[in-house]
Amino acid sequence: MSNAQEHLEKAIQIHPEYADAHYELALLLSNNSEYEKSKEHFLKTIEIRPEFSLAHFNYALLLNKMKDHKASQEHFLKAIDIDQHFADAHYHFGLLLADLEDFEEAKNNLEKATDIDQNHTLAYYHLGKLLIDPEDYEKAKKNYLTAIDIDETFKEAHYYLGKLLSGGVQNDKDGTLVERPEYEDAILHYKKAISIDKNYAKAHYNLALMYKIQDKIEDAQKHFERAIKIVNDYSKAHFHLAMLLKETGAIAS
Amino acid sequence: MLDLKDHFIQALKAQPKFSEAHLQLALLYKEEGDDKNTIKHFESAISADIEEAEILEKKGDELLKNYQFQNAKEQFIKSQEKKRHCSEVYFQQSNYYKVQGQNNLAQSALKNCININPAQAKAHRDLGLLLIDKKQLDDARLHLEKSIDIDYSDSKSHFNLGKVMILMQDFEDAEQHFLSALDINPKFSDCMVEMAHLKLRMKQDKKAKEYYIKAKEITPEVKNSELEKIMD
Repeated sequence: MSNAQEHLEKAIQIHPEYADAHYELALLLSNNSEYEKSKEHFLKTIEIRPEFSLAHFNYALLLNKMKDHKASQEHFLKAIDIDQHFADAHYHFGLLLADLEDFEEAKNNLEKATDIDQNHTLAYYHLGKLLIDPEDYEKAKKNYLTAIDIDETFKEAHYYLGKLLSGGVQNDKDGTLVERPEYEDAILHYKKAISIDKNYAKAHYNLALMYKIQDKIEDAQKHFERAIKIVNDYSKAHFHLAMLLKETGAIAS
Repeated sequence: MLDLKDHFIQALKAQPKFSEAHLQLALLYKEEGDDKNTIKHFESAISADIEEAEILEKKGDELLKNYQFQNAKEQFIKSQEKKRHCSEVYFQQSNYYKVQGQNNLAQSALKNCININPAQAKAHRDLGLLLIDKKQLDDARLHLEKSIDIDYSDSKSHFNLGKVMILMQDFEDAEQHFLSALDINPKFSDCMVEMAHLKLRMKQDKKAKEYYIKAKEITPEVKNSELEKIMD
């Protein structure tokens, strides 16, 4: 038992209705993966201070960890209801909704998070990932770019922007579905992701695919091999490298 | 040193239901004459595709029930891709059985191929050809017509449908299909020979001679005893 925990428990013993002590203890127990005990203290906190938005928020996070999604949603909503400018509550609620496949509401909440906190990198990034409708192509791109603008070293944002650009599936002005891949930009972002993390296997793999499309066979082979070196059982990389070898009649080193 | 076969095997070790890798391995083993492994990997590719397509379709249905239209659409598109791949596997499997002289198995593979992807023109065409061999002319005609409906630019389907029409004594239709085949592929010497035969049958010896000469110009090794007689 940590010192902090002992002191918090002592404080509660002296003053059982001490909401802040219950709250801090709940956080501590949650961090130590003592979920059931943490839950008790969150409930006590909320009982004493029902309008404590942070308590509802952190309790919702705990419930999410405990896979009680329904109750988790209720407490995220409560936190938002109390503090409508609670960006993180919108953000985490959005992620939960995405996990529960309620994508529209997830997008709404992530968008709300970015409205409230215009530097919420993760909200922009996750929103970009959810905007898969070809109609939302530009919007997704904008969200990734904003995330990168805030944090240039955000490798996943570079990677997923690369994926979006390499597909290029979007709606034309008249609503027609078109594929307009932006290979050069995609390559740029995959390279950027690799420059941030040289062992980013997925980025090597996707960069190789780009080079394959552009008939830059040696570069493609190099990055497929790099991906495999990083992740030995990278199934798709093995497959595409084999296809490359089949098409070019080469042998891998 | 890893060769491409090793890479396909590695791909399957990590992902045993990787149907594309199974198909490629089946084709490699086919080239090597390893029948056991060819058959095994064709079957594995088919079962993996079918299983995956079903999972994706179920997922799409669930999303649809929750009004998640775009995400449902994405699952359905992926399921269709799996089905299209599966139909390609069946098609390759039919090619393998044809080479082995196992025409019943080839026919069954082509039927499966069409069943899962009715828009596979070359499967209709090949099934039509197998049915010609079995003298099932009505069914052969249906499949060749279907192949043309899907892909009008396939000169071989026009050519073979023309041959079916000759067997069915419908010379006018036969001529039309040969003409279509030649329109698409003006250097289709086999079709010119068939056309020459047809013209001969229709007592148009001059035209027959013209087609035969053209065929020989394109493919000098063409030799047909019946048509050689009118060349004198």
